[in-house]
Amino acid sequence: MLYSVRFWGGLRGVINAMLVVYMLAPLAVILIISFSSAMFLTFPPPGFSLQYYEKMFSNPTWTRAILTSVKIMVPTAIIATVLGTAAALALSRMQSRWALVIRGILMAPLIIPVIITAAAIFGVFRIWGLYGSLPGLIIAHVILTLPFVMSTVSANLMVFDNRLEDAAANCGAPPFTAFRRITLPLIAPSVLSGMLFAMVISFDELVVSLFLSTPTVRPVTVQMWSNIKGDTDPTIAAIATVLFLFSLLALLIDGLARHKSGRAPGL
Amino acid sequence: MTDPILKLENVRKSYGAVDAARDINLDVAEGEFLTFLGPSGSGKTTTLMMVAGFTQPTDGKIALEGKPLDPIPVWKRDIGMVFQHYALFPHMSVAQNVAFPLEMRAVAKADRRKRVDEAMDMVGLAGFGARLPKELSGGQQQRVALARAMVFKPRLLLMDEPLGALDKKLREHMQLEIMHLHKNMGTTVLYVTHDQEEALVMSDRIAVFQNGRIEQIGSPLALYEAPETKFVADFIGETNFIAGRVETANNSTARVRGMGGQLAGALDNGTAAVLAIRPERLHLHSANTGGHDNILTGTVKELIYLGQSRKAIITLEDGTEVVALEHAAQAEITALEPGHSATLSFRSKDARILADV
Amino acid sequence: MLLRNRAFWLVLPAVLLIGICFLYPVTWLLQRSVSEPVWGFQNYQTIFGRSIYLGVLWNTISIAGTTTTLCALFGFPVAYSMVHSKPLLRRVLIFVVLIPFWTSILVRSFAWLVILQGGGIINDLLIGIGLIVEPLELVYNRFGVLLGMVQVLLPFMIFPLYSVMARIDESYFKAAMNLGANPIRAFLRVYLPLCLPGLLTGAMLVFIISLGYFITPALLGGRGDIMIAQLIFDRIDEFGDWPLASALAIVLLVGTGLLFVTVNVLLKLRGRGV
Repeated sequence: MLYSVRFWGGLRGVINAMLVVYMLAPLAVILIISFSSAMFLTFPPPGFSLQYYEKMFSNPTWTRAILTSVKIMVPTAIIATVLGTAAALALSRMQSRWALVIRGILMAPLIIPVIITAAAIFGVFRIWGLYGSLPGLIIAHVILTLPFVMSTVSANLMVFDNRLEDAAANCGAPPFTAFRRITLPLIAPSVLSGMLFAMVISFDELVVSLFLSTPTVRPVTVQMWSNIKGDTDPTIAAIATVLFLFSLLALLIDGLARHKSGRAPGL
Repeated sequence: MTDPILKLENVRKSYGAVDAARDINLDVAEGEFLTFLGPSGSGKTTTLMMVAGFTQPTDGKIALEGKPLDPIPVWKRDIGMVFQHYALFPHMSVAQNVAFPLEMRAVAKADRRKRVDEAMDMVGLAGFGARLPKELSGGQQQRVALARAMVFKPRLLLMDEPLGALDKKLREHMQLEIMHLHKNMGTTVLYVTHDQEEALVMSDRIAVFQNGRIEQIGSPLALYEAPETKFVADFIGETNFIAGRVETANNSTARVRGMGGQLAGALDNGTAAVLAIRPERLHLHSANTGGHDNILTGTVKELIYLGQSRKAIITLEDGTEVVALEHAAQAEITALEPGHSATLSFRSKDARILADV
Repeated sequence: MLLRNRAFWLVLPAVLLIGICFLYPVTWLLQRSVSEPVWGFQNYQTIFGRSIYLGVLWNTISIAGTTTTLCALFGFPVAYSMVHSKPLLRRVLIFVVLIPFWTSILVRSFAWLVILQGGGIINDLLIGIGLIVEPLELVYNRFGVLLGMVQVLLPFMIFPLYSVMARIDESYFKAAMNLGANPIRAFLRVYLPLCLPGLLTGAMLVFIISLGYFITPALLGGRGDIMIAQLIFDRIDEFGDWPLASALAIVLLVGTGLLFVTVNVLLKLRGRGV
């Protein structure tokens, strides 16, 4: 049996199928249930209805929460992308030991457990008056997403041929022109990746938001959290679907960008 | 000689305690094809990068057409450059690559197109403008790089091992093409290579670099026939060295181990020296025949058939191995057998006596 | 020199932001474990002296350990299958792993709740076909926590394994069999050792991330499944007990750091062929 190609092929099929079910079934269930006509979460749904989506958009608690999340996400993505890209560019040009130290400092939020980051930022931001405010949440989210943008762009810069900038200078391009015409277009796909994932991470973030938010400034994930912990409002299925589709969209856009630029799909 | 277009005076570049280049003195004449030849790490690329402006010299002066280059940034130097592996912009079409230097110089659009077409025509790539660099072969990319470097009619063209990535046949073809372009355009060229054959074929003059210094500058003929140092004699072509001490030195000639040669530089009697003689200047005889000033005897170790010529490796009585090269026609006459004794002779005017360092 | 200066200005905003709004708060948090209520190690004595806290530490380690083992057991065949699939199927499989990876953990935990809870899909189904009478307890216990965590952390095991396996030359395996090893021996003696760096990296990632896990155990676990991160949250959120929370944070950080260093040293030693 050990030598049978059929046996091994079959086993691999079973493993692949298990993977697909385990990874996707929960998401599929949420997706289906969100269109249910039942008044509570039941499967399979007795009929099709958009009632949960209607509730989501008519209930001010949810609309306000979604709006708050967007108000945090957009500035977070912009700031993290600009600062992270600038840092990656700077580090790729530094050769001293300082570059390693700085890279380590900037990557720290990715390495230190989020619960510690969250507790620490909460404690200090409360003293600084940033607790429960949009700027406070934006700063915290930038800290969590910046290392991500930086490492994505850095990975791209590692394979970027520095002599292209030299060649541009030799052709008569001043430094900023060389950057705008040569470097930026060539690293644009990774900058886009970084920004998309900064958006997804910010929109999905719960732990830090849980510490920093108040009933007046409450992102959608925190609202979901308190709903799930209390008595479950089926509207959550619709919200969860929106969150999931947002991630899926980002992943697809990134996949297309990578495909066009010939990079492998990655984390 | 008229005023040099490019002048380097006592140029030095140091990284910490290490000198990557030092004592670089060089005059480049208008329209000249000058090659920097040397092993890797010999300072040839460092020197080129200082002319281009990517590296700042630690000491010394570099002047283009009499004006010091030091305060001028790279992008204002108007020096064309062909990079190793070409450094074409991968996201731009071939035509956009070639147009880039003109765009930077704010050349009007219509004029730009005309000059791009001319440049593409010049390198034999008319009609390839819409392609991306990665859609071209190595040799074609090389030509695009050349067109991009020449399209704005630079006062000086730098080439950093431009043919290093090509296979031998294509390399030889491109060498000729670059030479023809140089002749037609009359641009002054500084060319870096580690390939001595390439340097001999292409250059008006060659500067041989070693340990950050220029060992010798001269025409290919001068470097091959009259090397001034042991390194140059060894690096360019193949040479036999017979070690000994300088004897009976006068102004231009001396002897080593009783054999005469031309003296390179002032060497006193008793100085450690080598007598350098090219394999094709050593004449072989199966029996002792005279005719030449200097005679060597030894045993045939190995005969290597090379088609148009034959190489004979002879072990001299003191154990030194020398190589002699004969044309096929001559090889037929001197019938040699491995293990048999052989006699070699050469003229004193064909041998060089060089300091043994 | 000019370039170096420009690089400095480019990186400065990011460094300032991380320094002031992250490094400073973290040090501020961590120093409170030894400075409050009075200077000393009393908070650590509390953690290591009381059975409730020791219980949470043990939970954390055992949940992280079990999660890692399960990820390795499932991740290994999955990675192998990916490497040996045709390009199209491989892309699909990678995408299947990536989709949940980029989906909110909250969304996924909620999905598991809907599926597993008393009136959830699985119990409805099993009761409906008459297999069981009483609903099974599938969630708010260790089973639920592990099911949720393995799903979230599996990619961290699969991708390091995948990248190592993709570089293994199949001819080694064939050579071993040609030299007389049966497939199982060839696998154990040749293939597995070659995969070890990927397995070790994946296991380290999964274990370290599990140690600090918060959302999944908090939503899918029961009272007996409280992990260190949840304890830190509760200490601050409910009791404002900063010193103890800070000491717990240090314990988590030191544990994570030690593990990271150990595994990296192991990988380096292996790399040198020791």
